[in-house]
Amino acid sequence: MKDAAGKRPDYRCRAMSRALAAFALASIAAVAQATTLVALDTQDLVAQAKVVAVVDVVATRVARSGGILTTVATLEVVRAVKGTALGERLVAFSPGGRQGEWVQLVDGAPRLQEGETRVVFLEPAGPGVYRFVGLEQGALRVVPDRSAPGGFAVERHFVSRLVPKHSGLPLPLLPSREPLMPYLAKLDHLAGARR
Amino acid sequence: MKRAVLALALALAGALATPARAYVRSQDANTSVCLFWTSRDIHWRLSEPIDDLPFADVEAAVKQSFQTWHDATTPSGAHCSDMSFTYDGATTRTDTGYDPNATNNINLVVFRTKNCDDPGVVPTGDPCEKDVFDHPFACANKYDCWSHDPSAVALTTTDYNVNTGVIVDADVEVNDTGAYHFTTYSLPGCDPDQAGSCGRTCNSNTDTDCIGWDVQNTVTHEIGHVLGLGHEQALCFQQDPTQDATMCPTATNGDTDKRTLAPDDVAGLCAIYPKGAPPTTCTPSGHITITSAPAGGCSSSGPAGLLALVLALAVVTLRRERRT
Ligand SMILES: [Zn+2]
Repeated sequence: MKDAAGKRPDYRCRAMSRALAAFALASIAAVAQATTLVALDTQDLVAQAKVVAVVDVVATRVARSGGILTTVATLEVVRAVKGTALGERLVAFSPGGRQGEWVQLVDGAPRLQEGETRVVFLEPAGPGVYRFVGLEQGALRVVPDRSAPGGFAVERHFVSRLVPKHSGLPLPLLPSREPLMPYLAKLDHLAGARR
Repeated sequence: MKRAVLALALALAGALATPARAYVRSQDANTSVCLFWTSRDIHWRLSEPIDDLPFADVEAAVKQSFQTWHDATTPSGAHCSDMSFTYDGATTRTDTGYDPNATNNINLVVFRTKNCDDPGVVPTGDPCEKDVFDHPFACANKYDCWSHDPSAVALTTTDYNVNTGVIVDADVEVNDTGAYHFTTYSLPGCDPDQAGSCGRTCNSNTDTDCIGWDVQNTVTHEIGHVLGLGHEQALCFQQDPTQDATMCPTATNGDTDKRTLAPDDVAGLCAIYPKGAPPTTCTPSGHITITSAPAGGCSSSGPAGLLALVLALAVVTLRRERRT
């Protein structure tokens, strides 16, 4: 992936800038879009996904099929958990995108941006392509977090089914955070990964 | 005296605990414009046939979902919005999305009863499948099948102008492929906010005379997206189900409480489409959706590189721990 000047984009740098800005904005308000979904917990996500990994979004483009826009993202694995390997490049589809002034928003689909780092849960969507399990539930943002061991956390923008309906229990504030490293250890455990 | 103070304190605590206005408006990730229709009469159509459900029952349920938003009133009984909807009848069209160059775009509600991934739904070698990199999801419209994640119950696609936020088209797809047992069942005199009052919850996909994944419950929520509302996750699972927002994103088998709007949903509708007044752009008092942040300048290797290092070290540590 090269930019107009022929240079490889410094996506790690951009990821950090975006993540820092997102971190600052999170204190104001941040709620993700979505549709009617069955809320999945971590165990469901790992079980349903063929591929689980921490990835950098190295490129995105928007493809059009008639009246349908799709964001096609190229993801580079920076930490593999299940079904992939470090450095592997994967292609994932997310419905919706922008062409000129026309934007197609599919409620619930992750809106991936080049330079982001995400923990992704992918399932096959055709030969050599993937889609996100549980739509945005399968594409958690990785954000800097000073209080987390290792300095990073995963950010969840979706209400968890762990709170029983009509229980009156307080809902976790969204986005909710979880330190990245213990979260990955949990994913490893669930995936039965052997390294 | 003590009692009066206690009562006052409890009343105050109650008032503070009730979020006054928490609806979420859909916004563009880059320009931050809020989404809205300029028309106060949204035309829609329902795709037929629907293989597994009586079409007339689904039609009645979906009509009622639109009617609910039309009839919305505040807790004091005020009809605060003049948004209306016109049903242009059933159609055999099943194509969702929007073509900026076409004149025949329609706002469609479609029940997808087949899964694109299932054998025989898309003929082997069909160009829509072979062309997947350049034309993804083309099979869904061509073969009227569900191509999204199977765990999504329903999905709304909204098309708008990035600079103005003006919505030009919206379609609702319902995942009726068998993953969810959709029903339109309702007992006479049911109160959707009272669990069990509209009927018992279905136990299986073949169970009858019961409430499974309720069509009206599902579509009423999706129409909120059609109107430009996002999810209100703070008003899910309230102890008092009447306060549960229709725009809470999750649902379960047997749910009916999204059939009725919570005061928060009505506040959202009326904020965007106030009666007798033009639609509003973003209202700062409602929650706003922030889905992206501006990129800042950065010239050296950033801390995301540090993340890679942290991850690499963690793997090394893990290996060492496993060896010992
Ligand atoms: Zn929704």
